[in-house]
Amino acid sequence: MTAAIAGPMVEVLGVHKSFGKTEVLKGVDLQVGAGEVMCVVGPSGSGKSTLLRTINRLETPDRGLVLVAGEIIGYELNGDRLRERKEADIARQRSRIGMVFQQFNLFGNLTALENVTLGPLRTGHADRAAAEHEARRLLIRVGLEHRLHARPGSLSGGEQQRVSIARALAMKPDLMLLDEPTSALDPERVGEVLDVMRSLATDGLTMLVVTHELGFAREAADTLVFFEDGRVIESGPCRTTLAQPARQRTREFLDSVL
Amino acid sequence: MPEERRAIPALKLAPPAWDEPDGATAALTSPSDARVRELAAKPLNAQRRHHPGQWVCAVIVTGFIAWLVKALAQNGLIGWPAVRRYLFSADILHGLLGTLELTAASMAVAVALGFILAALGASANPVLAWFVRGYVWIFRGVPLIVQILAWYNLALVFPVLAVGMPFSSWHLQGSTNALVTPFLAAILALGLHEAAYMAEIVRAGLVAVPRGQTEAALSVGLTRRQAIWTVVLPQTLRVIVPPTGNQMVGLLKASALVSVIGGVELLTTAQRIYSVNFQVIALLMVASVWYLTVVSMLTIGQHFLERRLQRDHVGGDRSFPAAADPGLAGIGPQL
Repeated sequence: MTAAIAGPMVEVLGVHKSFGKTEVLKGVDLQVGAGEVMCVVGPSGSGKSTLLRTINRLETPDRGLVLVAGEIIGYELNGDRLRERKEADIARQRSRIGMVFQQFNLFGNLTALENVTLGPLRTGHADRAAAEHEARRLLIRVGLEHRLHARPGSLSGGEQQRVSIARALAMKPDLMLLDEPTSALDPERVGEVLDVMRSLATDGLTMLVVTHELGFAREAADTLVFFEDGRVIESGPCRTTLAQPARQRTREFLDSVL
Repeated sequence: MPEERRAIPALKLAPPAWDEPDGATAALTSPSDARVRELAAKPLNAQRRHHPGQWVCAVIVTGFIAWLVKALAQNGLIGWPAVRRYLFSADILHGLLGTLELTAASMAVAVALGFILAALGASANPVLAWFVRGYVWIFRGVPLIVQILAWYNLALVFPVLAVGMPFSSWHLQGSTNALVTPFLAAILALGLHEAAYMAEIVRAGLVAVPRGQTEAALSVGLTRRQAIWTVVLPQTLRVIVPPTGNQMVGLLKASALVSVIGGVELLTTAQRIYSVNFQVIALLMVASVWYLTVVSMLTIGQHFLERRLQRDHVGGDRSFPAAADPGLAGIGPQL
């Protein structure tokens, strides 16, 4: 799938989203190229998480469309009109998009290994032997070879988040969405998760990361997007934007975070 | 005010003991300190404080129980020989079996229907949600004994029950009185009544599992149905099992109400026997002994089941907040 597309990996086209009377996304346009790492920064409540959740359709946009790897998420073309996809089809689209949540959301009834194998097994991507082999490989990669059979409750926050990254990688996604992956961690646990994220970036995985870790952005991200009040205020190459933001508002925000 | 102001510098001057070097600790203690140190080094062997009040209460309660046991044991009117004779009699055991069958069958109906109702209630379709609310309102609100009598007397409103194929003349029919036996009426009444409680218990269990669990399951490509079956429902069990055990104990006892329509169950059997031999209290004792025995066994089974479910969640779980234990307090006694 990745090889087949010439255009960007992710295209967000004029996305609007309201919760009740509050408009959270006020027309967002965004492009992420294949293999690109994009960091989204901005004040809390600005709609960054909602934007990420519209990309794998945990939220449905009120207006606008999201395309991933050239496919419209949630709809298909039926002549000149859009038609809502079947649930199984949306599930297939989601399975190509890895998601890492701020609160980890590991399955509380399963061990670390089972958390990682559940997706491949239930979606029929792999048989048990293959799924477990791959899960072990991924858990070793995130440094958890000694915690394979631990349940989420007995893992530290950093360990849980690394399991959740392995869980997302197990589906061999085209794209990873990371929603403030280090914000719920103790300060001394942030580093271990950022290390894993850096290695994914080096491997050429397309990533869209909502974060407050500007250090990570500077080292690992290609592009930076400054998001505020439901809109993209500024975007550009990461280092340039961090060093010399074009907008006054971006400068103020970066100064306040650093 | 001036006094308070003086107090503040005084507080600042008193240094915390742990800031002081070793010598300072010694300076703070009294001359008896050597003896205290000696005692601290030995095994603790302090004189216990006595609690005479506890003894007095224990003696009073024990005396009362002894008096009660004696009064019952020596009471010739209770008919202890009859208790012994009937406890394992064929009739009573047959009635006990009926009670167990009734409880098991209505609990099965209640659990199955409870899950279905909870699922319907959680659906996005407002008509279904309102249907479930109405069901719970009626079957939880009308006294169980009324429901038992109503099912038993179904023939008064629907004398004939029939099933047929629409748009054809084929059908089966039968007299309601022949179809709705006391046993079936009892299962319907107990099961449908209990299902209203089970629906609430399952709903509470579903609410207790954080939304993030479903979202994470969706994000790895599971459908909503797969997410519920493999991720959400297994995690509701820990919340659902304890109240369900209580409901089952309640249901076992509530099955005695079926005696108003004379089904085959323990209390009905006991009543039939004492209506002939007038050993009323003896046979109520026999029934009580069996109810207590079954309740004890259920309680023990529930204890082990709960312990097992708890063990599967070693160390608690941060993605499963403790506060999520639902307010089951609202689910009150059922009679």
